[in-house]
Parts: sequence; C-alpha cells; structure tokens
Amino acid sequence: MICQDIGAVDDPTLHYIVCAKPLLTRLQQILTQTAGFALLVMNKGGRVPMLDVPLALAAQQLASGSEELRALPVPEPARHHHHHAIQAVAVMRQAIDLVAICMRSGRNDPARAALTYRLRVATEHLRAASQLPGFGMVDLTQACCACHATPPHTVNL
Amino acid sequence: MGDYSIWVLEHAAVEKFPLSVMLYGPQYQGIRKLPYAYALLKGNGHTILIDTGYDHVNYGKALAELYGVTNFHGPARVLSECGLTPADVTAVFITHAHFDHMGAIDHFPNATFYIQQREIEKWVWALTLGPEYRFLVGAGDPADIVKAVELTRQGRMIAIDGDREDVLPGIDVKLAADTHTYGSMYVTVRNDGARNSQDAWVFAGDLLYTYDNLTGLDKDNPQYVPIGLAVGSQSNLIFATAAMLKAVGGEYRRVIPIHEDRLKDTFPSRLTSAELQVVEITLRAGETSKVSG
Repeated sequence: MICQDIGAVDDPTLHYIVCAKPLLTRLQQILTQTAGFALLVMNKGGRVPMLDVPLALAAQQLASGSEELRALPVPEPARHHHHHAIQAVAVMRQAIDLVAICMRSGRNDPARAALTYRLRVATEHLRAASQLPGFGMVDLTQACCACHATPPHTVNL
Repeated sequence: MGDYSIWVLEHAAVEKFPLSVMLYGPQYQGIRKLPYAYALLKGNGHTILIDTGYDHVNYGKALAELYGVTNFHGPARVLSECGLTPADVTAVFITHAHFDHMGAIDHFPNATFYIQQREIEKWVWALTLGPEYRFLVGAGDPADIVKAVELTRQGRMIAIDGDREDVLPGIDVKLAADTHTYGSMYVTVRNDGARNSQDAWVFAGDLLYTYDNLTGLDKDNPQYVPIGLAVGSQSNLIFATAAMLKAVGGEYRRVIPIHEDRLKDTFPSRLTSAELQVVEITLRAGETSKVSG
C-alpha cells in the first residue's frame, strides 16, 4: 500500500501509524461500500435483496475495525486522528442501519435524508483523520488515468 | 446546421501520457498529451454536458500533485468561454463513473444526471469483493459517491437501463457493457433529429482515447485497436468501436474521443488565456462561434 511521505515522527506515533493505517483503509472501504449500497437502494427505490449479505458483512467488519481501533495505544500527536476515526465509526454504524431502514421503507425521504447526512459526516471525519502524516483518503494507485505514473516520495507499509 | 451547437472544452491535462495506455499494444512508443475535457451541447432548450471533469479538491488535488495533472480550471471558468455558467447546465450524461468524468457533479445545481444502471450495480458488486479486487473498482473517493447519493435522493440522478433513444430530443445513449468499465455508455447526437440521421455525432467517453483506436497506427491498413485499460474485454471494446463508427456512417471525425489532443486540429479551435482548448464541433443556426472573431 502506497501512502504519503511520513517524514520525521516519534516512535509511538510511527507505531500508531503502522497499526492504524490498515484500519483506516478498511474504514474507507466500508464507507465507500455503504455509500454504494445507499446509491443502489435509492436508485432502486427500496428493497435490494442482493444487499442483505454484503450489508451484514459491512456491519461485521465495522464492528471488528472499531474494536481494533479502540484497542490501539494513542500517542498525543495521533489524538486528532483517533478522535475522528472513532467518530467516523459511530456515524458509519448509523449509516449502515439507515441503509437497512431505507430498504424496508421504500422512498421514505426522512430516512434517506438522514442516511445522506450520515454519509457526508462520516466522509468528513475520515478526511479529517487523513490529515495525520502517513494517511491518505484515496488509494491513488488505482486511478485510471494516472495508472502510468509512479508517485514521488512514497513509503510502502 | 443542426439542432445542437457542440463544443469540446478542455479543463486540465496530463502532458505526458503513455501511448501504451491509450492504445493496446504499442509498448515503449512514447507519450502524448492527454487532455481532460467534456462536451457542451446547446439546443432544443437544453444546455447539456457529456461528463463533468474532475474537481481540484481533496482527491482531485491529491491526484494533480502526485501524477502531474496540470492546468486545472473549474467549470465556472471553463464554461465562461462559451458565455455560460454551471447553473445554466440542465442535463449531464455521465459516460462512466471515473473521477475525471463525474468528479464535479456537485457543481451543477440545476442539472439532471444520467448514468447507466449497470455502472452503479456492477460497481457496488465489485466493492463487495474485497480489497484485493480493487482494480475492478478503480479509485473511488467516498465523497464523490456521497455526492451521487445526494443527487439520487433529490431525484436528479437517473439510472438508465441499457440503450435508450431520445433521452433528450435527438440524443440517444447506448450501453457498452463490460468494456472500459462495466456500464460505460456512449452518447449519440442525431443533430438533424432524423431516426436515420445523416448528421450524427458520437461521444465515446473512454471507449476510445484517440482516433488511433479507430484506425490503428498504420493508416494504410486500418483496424480497430482497443484502449489499453479495461475491466471488461478487448472484444467488447472493439465491437463497441464498430457500433460507434456505424452510427456516424463510417466518418471517423464524427466519433469524438474526448481525451484526443488532435481534436483541436480536426475542428476549429482556439487556445484560451488559461491555455485551455475550446474545440468547436458544430454550430446550430444563429449560434455565434466561440472560437473565431
């Protein structure tokens, strides 16, 4: 996994980055999945049977990621990141529940509005969390029109 | 003179893009400029974009810094070259769900967006496969997906299931399944409004990167050569290419590869003060040229 240049950080922070990086990546994947599920549900106008299992899996992965995140020792420079990551988990859990509600309630606009809001807030938390050196919101190595390039100043974690 | 005036508007570029990605096969044969652009159509009471370009914040900004995408200008600046604002845009066709084609969807407050249902469904399916399959998903900024959710909630993002004629007057969309992406589509503008149009234009999205995909590099022995980047099959790309060319009666210049730098030499064009190309494909009656005088 390629990420931005870490630069000079102390050992506890480096340890936090190494441990939290895959967790943050997983959270980003779960959020992207949840947003995709929401898009499909709203687009289809309600129940999408094929989403039952993936939605349950996303909830399971989120719970697992949350436990690992809470178990991490958090040095002072990483508190900002950890706070936003924890907040993102909480809001994503609500978003997953709302996807399920939207699947049952058809075109219920309050539920859809609440879901959209939660997705937006979770995105903002993860973006804020990515401000810590070593974290990035997007895996740029998968960009279709940029796949030719080698990012400068990278580290492999 | 047709029903729609049509321009291609550059909004950024990768100056050094390998030919081997634009065209399947020719390794180590150099680089070309790859403009980032979208098409603008005016007519029949509509102001239409085909794709939106990317947005130079967050993901887009990081992309530009890391990969050499240069000279970005937002839709307000780019559309002003044609006397328009983003608020004037009434409809947007998203040829496929990649960042440089739909990354700016939140800039058009009065537009309705059209995308293929399959593009959404298969993308969500690919998301469920796990991180080791992420090539199938492409780079996705969660924020862009959330924007799409918001538009869908508002009823402003319409998912089209396959081919559809006259989505807007004289404008058809065709699904090119399992090609560059799972649900890529191309847009045909029948500019005389006729069912068997003699004045058709096809906007290829990323089904083509260059005119060379239509002919190959040996013009004396032409062949269809697919692009070098696809989640679907090269066969599907080749048959989509043939279908696009058939839709315009075999006239190569009427199939528009939006990333083709040579559009500026094929049609009237001008370089703006921001060093972006405005390419004028055709003008309807009464329309003022945006590239001359």
